[in-house]
Order: sequence, then structure tokens, then C-alpha cells
Amino acid sequence: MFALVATPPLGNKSLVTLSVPLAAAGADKLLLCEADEFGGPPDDAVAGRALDAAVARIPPVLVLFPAGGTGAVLGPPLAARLGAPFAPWSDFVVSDADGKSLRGRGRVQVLRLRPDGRTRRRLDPAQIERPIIATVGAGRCPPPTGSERNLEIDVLPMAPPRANRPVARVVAQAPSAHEALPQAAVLVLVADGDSATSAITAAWAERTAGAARGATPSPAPSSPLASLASLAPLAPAADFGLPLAVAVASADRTPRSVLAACCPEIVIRVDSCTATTARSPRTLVIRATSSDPGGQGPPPDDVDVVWWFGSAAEVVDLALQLGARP
Amino acid sequence: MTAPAETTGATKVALLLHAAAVMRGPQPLHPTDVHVIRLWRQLGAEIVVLELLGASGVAPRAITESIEAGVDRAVRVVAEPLGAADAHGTGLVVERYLRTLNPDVVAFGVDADPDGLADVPGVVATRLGAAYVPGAVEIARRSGNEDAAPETAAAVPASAFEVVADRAGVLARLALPARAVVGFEAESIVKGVPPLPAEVTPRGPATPQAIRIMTLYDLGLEPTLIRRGDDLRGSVEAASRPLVTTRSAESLVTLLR
Repeated sequence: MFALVATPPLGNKSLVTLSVPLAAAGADKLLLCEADEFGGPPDDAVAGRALDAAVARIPPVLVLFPAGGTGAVLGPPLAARLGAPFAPWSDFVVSDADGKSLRGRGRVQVLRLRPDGRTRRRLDPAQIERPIIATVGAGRCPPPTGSERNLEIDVLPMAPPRANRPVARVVAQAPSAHEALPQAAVLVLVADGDSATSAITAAWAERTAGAARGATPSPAPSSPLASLASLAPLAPAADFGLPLAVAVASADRTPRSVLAACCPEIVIRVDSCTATTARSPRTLVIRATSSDPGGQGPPPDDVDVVWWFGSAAEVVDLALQLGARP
Repeated sequence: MTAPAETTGATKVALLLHAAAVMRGPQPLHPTDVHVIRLWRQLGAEIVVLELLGASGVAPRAITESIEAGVDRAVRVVAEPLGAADAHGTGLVVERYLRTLNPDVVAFGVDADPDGLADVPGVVATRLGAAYVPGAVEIARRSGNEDAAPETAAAVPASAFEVVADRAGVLARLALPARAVVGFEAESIVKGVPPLPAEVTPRGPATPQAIRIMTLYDLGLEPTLIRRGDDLRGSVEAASRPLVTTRSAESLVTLLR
């Protein structure tokens, strides 16, 4: 597995900071593309040069874009250049069968849930004989599997920027108020009018504040609170190079486009909240209800688990437990 | 009432219905496509919609609704090979048509593809050599930008726009180059232009002459260039999702970890 990073030129310290989490996540090699122009928001006219250099250096079977929004911008044009299919919000099945019993099928296959939620598409790289460009949802951080010592770093030479290429020039930029949501593996969605909403918000604020006060960053947080402490504010998250694991959001105050760009591993919808996010085959939707679900009729089609909770603190604690590194 | 008279078509916009996905049956106009039509009407653009059909005899439901929503012209490309085309073949057809139309902006609704892919506009942008700008949540004329210096604003052509798009946690204000392929979100807005009255309906009667049917031969394409043995979208299979009901948080944690 090759990790590709397009970045402004890095110093030694920054390079180490970057490579530690990638190595821990199991990357075999880091393909590094450095140019001043890579400091801005992702744009195919700019970052596409790095992608092209990487796929020319290592012809891939799969190109994966992580959660967070880069895949929606860079994925389709890359697929167009490679003649490859683009599969948003995908998941994988990995077969452990021996070579003979695979019978021409690939060991790794790509799955994508269709919008109806009842069917899915299966793509086999071995059968279509071309790479697959996929975006993946936000997942919970698995235990570390690699070591920084084993990570090779390959600095890729890039072709000069193409002259006269049309670029959507950045006139101004500002952080989005919702930037943490697409990276949350566990997303709790509440509706403004519900009685449980204010209690959940208060419990969340209490846990966050408590964890931030007592937090001591460690490379491998294991308890829910330690995990939250390292992940809640953006700056400490950068210390670990980890995404935000858990987020609580008001569905009424979050734009639909932001929710559509979120593909968490677990969505907890509380009481009357019916907002939807993008879903991968791995995504589980929990309908958390403060009253007897027996009297509420059948849940919506996309719900996998109906949970009758006792208190707001229970919802927050569940989210934190689910978001903690196993 | 009809639309305002200042819809002179200073900017020509091509809207790819259903995000240029190929339809095999009559589909209603997607709400995001309706919204995009409304946005561009606010901006006084000439709007041409394009629908791709992989079967003949399909009722023109989305096209009719788009004319009712106020587009100037509608084009349907009807070709059986499109039903077996991948995104690259479909993108080739769209590109051929757009080269004849020569629009200032190519627009699509990012969530308008019934299959949730929206992969064709990326192919179209690559083939046209145009900028690919998905995720626009706001659009404004550059000349109307209050932040712009007057001397630079005067030099901006009338068809140049700025959009605000979410780029990996950053809201970026982007100056659109000519012929950019722009994806609009469902709740995108127009800045600096008064809103249309809520009851505005077609600019004129939805005449059959407003709809043009085209084939691959009209675009100078052979069916063998478009038809594929595999549409590269994968085989469809059932997704098993059994419903679980519980009152225990512990059992949920055990189930989901």
C-alpha cells in the first residue's frame, strides 16, 4: 500500500510528523510530491499533477481517497484520465481463498451501496482489468500495524505545470464551520426541537471540556476520554495525525450538502431527526429513541439498529465508546 | 407570470440533467436540477438542458418539466448504445454536443444522478480541457463582487462568475474560468442578484420546437465508439441489512466494535 501526499516542501520535522501515522496505519511506502502550489485547497488542475506522477510511477489496482472531501474533487478527473470507474463511498471485501479457488476473480473487490439502500454494486479490479478510483468513508482508527522504520519515502519528480490550463483561481478562503463532520467516524445527529437535544449537547460539552482539561496527548489513545481529548480540537488531532473520531451535530443547522459529504461508519440519529448522510456498505445507522420504539411504527428503511436509550449521557458515552480505538 | 425581460442570454449555460447519467425510462426532473435552473434564471443566463437516453420512446418528462421551469432550449440525445456505455463513452457524447453549443458554463447537480455516481461531468471536463469545480454552494457575478477593486471588476467579462465551494474543510471562493464544469449543491444560492418571484414559470409556452432530438450520427459518432461490453459500474446484488432492536448500550457496543 502506497500513501501519496501532495504538500508544500517539508522540513525534516514535518516529514517525520507526517510519516509516523502513515507508517502506523500500515503504509509500505510514502510517495511524496512537493511543490509550493500544493498548499491551497484541493483542485485537480493543481493536485492532478501529483496524482498523475504517482500513477505513472506505481500503476495502481485501486486508488483510494480518504474521507474529508478530496475524493469528490480529485477522483472523477483522475478516473477520466485513467479510463477507470469512479466509485464513491466504497467498501471492500478481501478474500482469503487460495489462488486456484479465486478462478480469475480478484482477491480484493469493491462494494458500493446504491441509493436505494437495498442493493449494492460489486466491482472486481481483476475482471474489469483497469484500476478503480474510490472514495472511502470515515472509519474508526484501527490498532497500529506498522512502524516508521519500515516506511520508505520516495520523492516523486513531477512534470512542470501545463501552460494555459484553466484553473479555478482561489480568490479567498476560510475554514468551514463544519470541517470536522466529514472526518467523524461516529456522527450523532440531533434535531433542534427534541427534548433530548439540549441534554445531549450539554453532556457532550461536559465530556469535551473535561477531556480537554485532563488530556495528555499519547500516540495511541485507548480509553474513550483519551481518544476524545486527542481528537476533539483540531490542533491536538494534528499532533496525532488522526481524524476526528466522534462528532455531534444539529441536523437542522447543518447544510444538506455537508451531511451528504459525510460518510461515517456509525450514524446515531436521535429521536425525531431524520437527516441522512452518504452511506457506504459498512455504514450502520442507529435510531436512538427516548421513548418506547414499539409505539412509533416501523423505522425508516435505512435504519439498521433501533436503540431505546435511558439518558442523554448514555448516548454520548455510547458514541465515545464506539469512537475509541479498539 | 413570465420571467423578467433581462434574460438576454448574455451567458450561455448548458445544464446536464441527472448529472449526465443515461436514463432508460421517464425520470422526473431532479429537485437539484430545478434549483440550478432557478439559479441561472436569476443570473439572466440562456439555459440549454441536455438529457441522455439509452432507449427510444421514453416520455420526455424531465425535459418537459425543465421547460416549465424556464429553460430556453432542451436537447435529448437518444441512442441505444448509450444504455451500454460507461462514463467515458457517455462523456464523449456530451463533449461532442458541448463543442457545438460552446457554452460559457457547464452545470450539473451533484446529487442529481439517480445512481449516486455523478462521474460523467469529470470526464466531460477532462475531455473539454476545462476546470472541474464540484460542490458549489454560492455563485455571484465577478463584476458584482463588492470585494473586487473597481479597475479589475471593469475588466471582467460578463460571463465570468465566482463560486464558493467546500474544499476539504475550506470554503474557497473560486474565480471560474471559461467553460468550467460546475457542480451545484442542492441548497446553493446566488449572491448579488434579486431573487425571482416564487410563482415565475416558463419564459414562454413550452412549445415542442424547444425540444431537439439528436442521435449519435448527428454528433458524428459511431455507435461502436460508445457501446461497451461492461459499463464499469459493477454487478448489482442484494444488500442484506437486518434490523436489530435493543435497549442495552453494552450490547450495542459489543455488536458494533
